[in-house]
Amino acid sequence: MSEQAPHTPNDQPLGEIVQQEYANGVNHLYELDAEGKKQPISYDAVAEAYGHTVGPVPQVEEAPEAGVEAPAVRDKQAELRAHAQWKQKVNTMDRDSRNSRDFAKQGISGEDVAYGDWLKENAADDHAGESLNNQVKAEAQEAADAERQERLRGLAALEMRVKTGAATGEEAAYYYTMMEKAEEEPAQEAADAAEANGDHRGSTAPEPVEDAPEAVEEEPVDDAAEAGEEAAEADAPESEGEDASVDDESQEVPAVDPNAEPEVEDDRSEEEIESRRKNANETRQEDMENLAEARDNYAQLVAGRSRRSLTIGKYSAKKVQEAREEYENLLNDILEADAEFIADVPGVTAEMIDGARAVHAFGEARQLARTLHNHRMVATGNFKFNENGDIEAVKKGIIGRQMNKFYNWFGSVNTDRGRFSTGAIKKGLAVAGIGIGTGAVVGLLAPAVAGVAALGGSVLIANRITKAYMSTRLHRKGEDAVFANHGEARLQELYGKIGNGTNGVEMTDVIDTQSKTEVKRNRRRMALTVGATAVAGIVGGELVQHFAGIDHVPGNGSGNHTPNHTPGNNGTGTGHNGTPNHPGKVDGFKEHVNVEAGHGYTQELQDLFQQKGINLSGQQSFDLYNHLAEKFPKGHFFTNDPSYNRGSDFGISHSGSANWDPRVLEEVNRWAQENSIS
Amino acid sequence: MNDDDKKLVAEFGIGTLPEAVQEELLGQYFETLELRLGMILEDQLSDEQLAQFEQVHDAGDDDATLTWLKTAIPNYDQLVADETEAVKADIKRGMSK
Repeated sequence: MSEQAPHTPNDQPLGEIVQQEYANGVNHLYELDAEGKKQPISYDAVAEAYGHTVGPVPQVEEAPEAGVEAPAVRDKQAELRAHAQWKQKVNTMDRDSRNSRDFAKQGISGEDVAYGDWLKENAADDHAGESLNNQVKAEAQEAADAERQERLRGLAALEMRVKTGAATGEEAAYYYTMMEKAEEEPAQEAADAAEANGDHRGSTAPEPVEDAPEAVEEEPVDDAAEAGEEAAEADAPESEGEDASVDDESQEVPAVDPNAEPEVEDDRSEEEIESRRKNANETRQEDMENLAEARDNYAQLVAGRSRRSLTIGKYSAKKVQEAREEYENLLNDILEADAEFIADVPGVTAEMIDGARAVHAFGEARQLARTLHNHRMVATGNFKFNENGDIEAVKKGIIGRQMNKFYNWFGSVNTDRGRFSTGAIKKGLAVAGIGIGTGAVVGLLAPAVAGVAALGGSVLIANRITKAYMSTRLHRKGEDAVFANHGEARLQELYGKIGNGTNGVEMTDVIDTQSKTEVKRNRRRMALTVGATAVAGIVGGELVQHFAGIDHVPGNGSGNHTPNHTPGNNGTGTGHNGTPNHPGKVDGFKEHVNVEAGHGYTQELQDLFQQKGINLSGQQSFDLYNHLAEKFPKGHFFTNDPSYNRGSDFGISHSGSANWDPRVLEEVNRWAQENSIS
Repeated sequence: MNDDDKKLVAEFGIGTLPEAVQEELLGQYFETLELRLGMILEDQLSDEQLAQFEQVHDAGDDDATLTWLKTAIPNYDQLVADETEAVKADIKRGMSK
């Protein structure tokens, strides 16, 4: 059956048509003449004007060939009204009885009836194709369901990234928008998302979501592309461009030309550059403080939401999103300012700028993760921030929430109750399915990582993960049995040192490869910039040493815990059973110590053993520290420093000159003997 | 620096930096990964599961602990792999800004 309308319109012009409804229910049509006067007009006349034949009801077997088309020359407003009226008639015809008198009253012509029949036949055809339509619909629904499931899975993954602060701004914005909506809706889809995520924890299932935008996965790529373009632009320092233009200009303009304009442009540029440098230095500290505050606020909100009980008010999705945007905006502003500032420094190459970016990117990623983690710990209610910004147990004796145990487990992997041991290492290797001889300690994360072929550094990753947990999640034994945050606090001390800008000089290494005289002047600027920017960036060799101290376990699987030290330099100088020959003057250990800013007892203990040429590992130093803490519960290790108690730990109150308590040194020596460290 | 370290250095494009700085940056990468991964895995467990985990952990059998963990978190392997790549991507994105 054709789907064309029954008749073609004729070309007779019509004026404006109006319909008037009278109280008795009769409707009449009028055509307005040029003066606006109403002239009665029949429905048939209108129908004819639209190409409908008025007369007996035709036996319509098939639709006429031509469709209904409004004459272009007619008044469109009038046509629309007339057509609307005609459609109203047809609709009425369908609803009411098909009594010819009723039709006449309503102005329904035979043509209208024919058209109604035609519509019905086409409707019947639609029913005939219902099964096909249903099939198509079913397939479409199936595809939609699959797509929805995929989106839910994607969103579940996105949720994790957001909760760990890893999501991009666009991702986070989208996520929080969805969460904001979902908070006011039933949680049906939350279960779906949880299922898609393999989440066995009902209370942590992703909150109800709507369909994710298809571009979510692509956005980071776009960002990267855009960022790449920006980087490419930034990689061409302004100074280089300006230099090039100057060179060109100098070639074109004769040096003796009296009409040559003075190169004031360069002077102005230099002034601008200097101004920017000055401003950058003046505002940098404030910018970094603002960034730290924004980062902290964002992490706090994310941590609060991760507790699941706090998703309204302060912890609403909108608030979190705003915090994220503020953090990212500040970060980007600083990065842009840095790029501009560094690029202005003559002699600084793109390579140096890349180095600065790398330092910042690594450092900022870590800092955000650390900040978020600290806030999550505090959100458990078992920890709090102290005045130094470190986290500490709210009270002694806290066993700690199970989460702490979870982290502790990572710390204990490959260790035998806090110590590396041959057995534990072999077990780790066996669990990982990696043969001994791979040259690495393997944690229990290794099997997962090693299972992914794309991850070439699997063993290394597992190794580092283990070491990192060993460093920051050491489980403190003893009566407190509190999640020990010693390593954490120690690193925080280092960060505090960095925050004071004292690490800036470390970045001079970045440009040490440059031998130009000019670089010497720039080095200080570069170091200042990068040092301040990195914040949590380079910590010199201290962290490396810290890790390296733990990484003493040889890859041959021996698991020997003997520290690396200079052969033959046995400087214990003690008598039998470790008793010093001269109490208070332990041979090889000097009482006086110069505490570096940011150092804790474990570092000072390592330095102490260095006096005897012994490289005490981080683990060993921590073990010794715990031993001393048991022997000297008040933490008075120095004679002129009472230590400060940071919950479950002792810290050195002041940097600078100090003296080891002779009794402490005796105990240190005794411990070294008992542990065959010499 | 072993071969795995060198691969990562190449992947991050930091090979022109002094080796001490390279090592430092890799250390930061691993710490970031460790923290983020730890948070993600922790989020996969309910309080009850964490309590169970504590019991398994305290038994001292690392093999059993890993088995328990992978059972409790069916997509454990994938989570580790995904987050490893995610951290890399985030750092690279930061470097490109």
